[in-house]
Amino acid sequence: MICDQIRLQIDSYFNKNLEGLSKEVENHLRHCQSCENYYQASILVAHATKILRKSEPVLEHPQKFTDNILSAVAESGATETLVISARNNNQIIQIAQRLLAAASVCLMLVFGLEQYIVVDKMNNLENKMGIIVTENPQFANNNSLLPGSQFFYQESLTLMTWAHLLQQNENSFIYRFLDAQINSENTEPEANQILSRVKGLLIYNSSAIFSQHIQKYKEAEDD
Amino acid sequence: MLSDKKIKNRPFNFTFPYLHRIINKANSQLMQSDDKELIKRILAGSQTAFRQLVEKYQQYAFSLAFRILCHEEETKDTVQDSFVKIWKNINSYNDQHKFTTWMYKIVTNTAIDKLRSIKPELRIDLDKVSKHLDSFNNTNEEIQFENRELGQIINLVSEGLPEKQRLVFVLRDIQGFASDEVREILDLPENSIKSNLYHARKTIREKLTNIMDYERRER
Repeated sequence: MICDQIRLQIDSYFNKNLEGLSKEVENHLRHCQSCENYYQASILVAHATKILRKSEPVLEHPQKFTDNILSAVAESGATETLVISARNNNQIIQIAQRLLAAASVCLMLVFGLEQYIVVDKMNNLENKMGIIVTENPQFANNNSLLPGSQFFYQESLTLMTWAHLLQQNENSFIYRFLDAQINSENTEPEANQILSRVKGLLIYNSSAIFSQHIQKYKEAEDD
Repeated sequence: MLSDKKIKNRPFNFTFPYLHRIINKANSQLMQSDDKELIKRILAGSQTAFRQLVEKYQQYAFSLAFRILCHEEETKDTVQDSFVKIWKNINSYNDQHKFTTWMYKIVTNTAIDKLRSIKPELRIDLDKVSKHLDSFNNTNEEIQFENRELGQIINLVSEGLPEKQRLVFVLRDIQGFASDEVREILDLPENSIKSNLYHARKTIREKLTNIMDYERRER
């Protein structure tokens, strides 16, 4: 039993490159011939392994051997396979590049057209607002019933924001703003607050909807 | 009985036991980055890059295959076949792993196939082997054998071991691979590697002891 444990410790000493045998093992080896033989045999195996590890097999004529390997590769037909494979990879990259280019052009067209439509809508909106103001001179007057209209007319950005709100059917919001503008003395802070919120929203929409709402508001006021 | 002098005269120099590992690791990292570049070029179809790869690793592949097969000509065929496989399958190499481990796996598997197909060399020159066994007792570690002698000694030491034990012993103890690398090359769990190595060392120890006893008695 003790010998088994001692041998396990000897194995650990060799396998784990421990710094030395323990005192217990050293004492045991002085008195146990069998374990000493085991230890000596272990030294022998360790030496043999070390020598075999250090003794590297020599590859003679390495240059010639490389040539032979490359010839074998060429004869196996693998060269073509890999070249074709590489070519295929290149083709895939080329196709991907062309697709990417086509996609870029498409995107440019779509966004360009969108941009054109937006600018066109803004122009239309300005024209229509111009017509409204011309036909309804009270809108052009700062003291008129609807001072907000002049503000709309001057700032196209805000105008477009309003158009967006109209599209979203934020009617109560719009009328609150218009009411706030009408009673500007008491509600100016509120109007500014609403306006700043409006500016934070996206801009684009049709000018026609806006005109309709202005018209509706006008009719309501006339009534 | 073991004298105090013998005990103090330990078989290994333990001054910097892990220094070689640190140096090897640094070298290995340097080689890995070079390998990635080479493999990139090979994947783009460069045969020049493949030649460089072969020149760089043919000696390593030869050493490994030789230590498994113990026969020079069979080893050369195995290495050649292995590099053909490497070229053909380079597309499937995953660069998250070390190239050398992937290469050693291919070389080992090709060598195993070869090992199964060839008959072991029975003619071992016992006189020469006896001389070499003496050298195991010699603390002079600068011994360089010729390939044929080396093959005979490895054959003698590992002869009779089951295939797995032989492979684990060659990769771990003679080739000096880390346990993780052996596990990856042979696709074996850690426990299996430990157990195979234990039994291989035990068998070899018993065999060498018997031979040395026989030699002593003969003298």
